[in-house]
Amino acid sequence: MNKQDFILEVQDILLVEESLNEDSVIIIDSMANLLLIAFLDDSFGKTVDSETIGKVNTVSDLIEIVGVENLN
Amino acid sequence: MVNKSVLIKDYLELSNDIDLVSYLNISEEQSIQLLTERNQLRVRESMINSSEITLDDHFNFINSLEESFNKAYWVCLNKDKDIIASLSLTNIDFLNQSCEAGNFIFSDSLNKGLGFLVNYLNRLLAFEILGLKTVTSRVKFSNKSAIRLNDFFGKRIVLDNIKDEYIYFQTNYSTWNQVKTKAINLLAYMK
Repeated sequence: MNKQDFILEVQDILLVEESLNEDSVIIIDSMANLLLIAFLDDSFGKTVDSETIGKVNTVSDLIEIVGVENLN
Repeated sequence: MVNKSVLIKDYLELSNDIDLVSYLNISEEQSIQLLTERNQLRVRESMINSSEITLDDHFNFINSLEESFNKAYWVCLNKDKDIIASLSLTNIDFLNQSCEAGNFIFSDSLNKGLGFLVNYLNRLLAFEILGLKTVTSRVKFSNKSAIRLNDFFGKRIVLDNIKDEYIYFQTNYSTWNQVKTKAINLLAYMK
């Protein structure tokens, strides 16, 4: 998955209408928190807990969790 | 004949290492902690009764649950036995097999994705333990996170002659059966 597809997936999960970029500040509600955990596990094999997702502020924070090297 | 005990008993490790303990079975210290959370503006403003509750009224309310057949309240304890949330089933009607679900998350447990789990537990209790067939919930228009959760578990409904600041949701038994497996699969990701 490339970075753009990753950001689009995050956009879908967060149900935001505006286009996100790496610097976008994001608000993660309870439902999105769980969906992001599932997405990161299913798509990248990353095991992340809900507390870690709760501390995410920007799209970049999520990219850091995935590892930029995994988004080519 | 309704088996009253289902409303006041504890349910241990119901899901994701969470224990549900009846308000009637919590310690005085936990009870005061519960009142402190309940009286926070963040919690109060999403409730129908948004007034602060006094300590006396709080304890009187808890004691009244002993005799009540139409409402039940539990606190959710995590595996460290910290209270993370409160959940309730009110307006329980065993004849029509319906109830209203409510919950709030404790301050220290916010932003940890627990809303989904607590909403799941509300329905698990109502459908699988109390044997009810319809669960209604209401969420203020401004509470977007709770609206999204309730959209997952139920359908929005319009109640005749009620125009207020809430969106009403209903989950019936067939909807529950459709979303339960998806919910369990998602909850499996919660560590």
